[in-house]
Amino acid sequence: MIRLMRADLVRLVKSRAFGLSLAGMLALSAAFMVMQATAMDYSVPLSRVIFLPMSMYGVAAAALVSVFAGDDFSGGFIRMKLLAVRRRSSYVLSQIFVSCTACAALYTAATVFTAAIGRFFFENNVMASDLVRFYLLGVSMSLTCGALFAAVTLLLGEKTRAVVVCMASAFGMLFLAMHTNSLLVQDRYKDGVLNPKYVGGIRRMVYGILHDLNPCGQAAQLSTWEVPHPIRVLLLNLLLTAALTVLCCRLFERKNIN
Amino acid sequence: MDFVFQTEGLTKRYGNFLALDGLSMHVQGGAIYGFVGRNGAGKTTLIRLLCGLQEPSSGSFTLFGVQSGSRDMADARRRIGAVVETPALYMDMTAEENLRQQYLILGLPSYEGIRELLQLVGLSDTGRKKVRHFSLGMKQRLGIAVALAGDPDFLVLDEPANGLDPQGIVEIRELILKLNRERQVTFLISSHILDELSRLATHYGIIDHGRMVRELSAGELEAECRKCLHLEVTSISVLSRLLDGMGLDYKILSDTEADVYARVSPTDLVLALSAENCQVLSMQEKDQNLEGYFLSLVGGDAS
Repeated sequence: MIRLMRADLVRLVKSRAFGLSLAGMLALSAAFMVMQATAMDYSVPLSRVIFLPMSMYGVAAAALVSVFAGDDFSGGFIRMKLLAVRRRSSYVLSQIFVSCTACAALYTAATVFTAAIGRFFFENNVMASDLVRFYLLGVSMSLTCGALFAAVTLLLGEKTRAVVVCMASAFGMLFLAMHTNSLLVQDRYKDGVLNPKYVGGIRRMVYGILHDLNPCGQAAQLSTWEVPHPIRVLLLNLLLTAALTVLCCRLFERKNIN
Repeated sequence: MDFVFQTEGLTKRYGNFLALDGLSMHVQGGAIYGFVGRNGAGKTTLIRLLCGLQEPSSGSFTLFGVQSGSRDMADARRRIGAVVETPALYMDMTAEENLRQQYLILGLPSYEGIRELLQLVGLSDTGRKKVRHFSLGMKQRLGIAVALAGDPDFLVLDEPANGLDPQGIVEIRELILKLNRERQVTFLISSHILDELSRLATHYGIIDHGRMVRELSAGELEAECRKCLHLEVTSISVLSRLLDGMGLDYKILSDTEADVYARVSPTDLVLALSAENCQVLSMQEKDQNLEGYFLSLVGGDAS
């Protein structure tokens, strides 16, 4: 497994998909900063800018992982890898590890870039401890994205289908996050009266869990610098990453490879 | 006999389609085994099972003496190099980077030998050119180089001549013969180019509809394909006596049929038989090559 990880990490660094995703996220970060600095008629604090590019992170991660992991299938190198490993699960674990690393690197690069540039243009209201806390939550979010898209790609076993399904999933998660976010941000009272759009009780709890479970929902929370249940988010991410890894190992074990 | 790879009743089913139907084959150590069959006969399926890309539905095989399903199969598979269908390559890497990937995957201690491999397959001057810009033949040769990384004892090549120009085909043939003679690498080669295969193979396996139709050595094939005169006569004993008297090599096929492996004047033979009261019912000159032999076994179009 270590051999495959080393090989894939070397490949990741040279990968066009990684370079393009990175460039895309940095360009997106720059565009968001310009928009926030110029289009708003009020002073935007740095905290509201740092994680803003993460709203499109799911789509970038889906493209990166499906193309990178899918290259093994389209190029046929998976055959050489399966010949070289003792168990197929070693291949799955190495792919998920490298995909998670790629997603975490993409996330880190975009966050560091936005924070480093943004502090010159926005009011710096960021406490270092909060930044570290939110950054780590974002890392767990990126691990979930990596595991999810890697599992989808490996189980589909074909690059083009993987790219389509992963991108569709990413947009699906994005729209779901927008929906759940619009429900959860409603105040209970509006102008002194009960807000009819406010969702309470069990439904609020279910929407809350759904929002926390969805990486794009987490990105929405990070971008507003408000994460009401950080421990729950962290646990859900770890649980989802572990479950996806185990499931993918089990299903991939008996998959026919062409 | 020392078999590198042998199968016993190997079956692979995809839904209702039976790709391999109780296939039994035997690849001897040091052999160049030509695996011949039409499209969809089951050649690539067998190679996929051998490489562990798919699991057999039933039956078993041994690889370097290790039984399929055994824990040691992974070690046995590490002694294989393979090009299955298309060469295994990363398109956005150079030839050297692809080989470096394979070296890392195999856990080889250094990149020594990469230049030699590139030279061996005639790709040492490709420099920074990405594989996506390679011709089909160059990709095929690089695929073989990748399969050769780590000095495998058994090389499985699925249609290695695909996309190669005549010069490339000759180079790959010479490479295979060189590896077989100098490093005792065993080869399993599936190919449609039967004429090319017949210049290489020491053994043949002819597969049709997932079943092994015939396994034979190159010597046996040569004997079966020898140029001969096929005779159908009323008395095989008369023919036999006459041919013995002439000191000619022949093979009796039935009570009325025989093949005569020698240059003989048909007129003289007919007259001699007629003098012994034996009539010639038919006479036909047979001159088969591997392609003709293959067609005679499986029938129809070789494609």
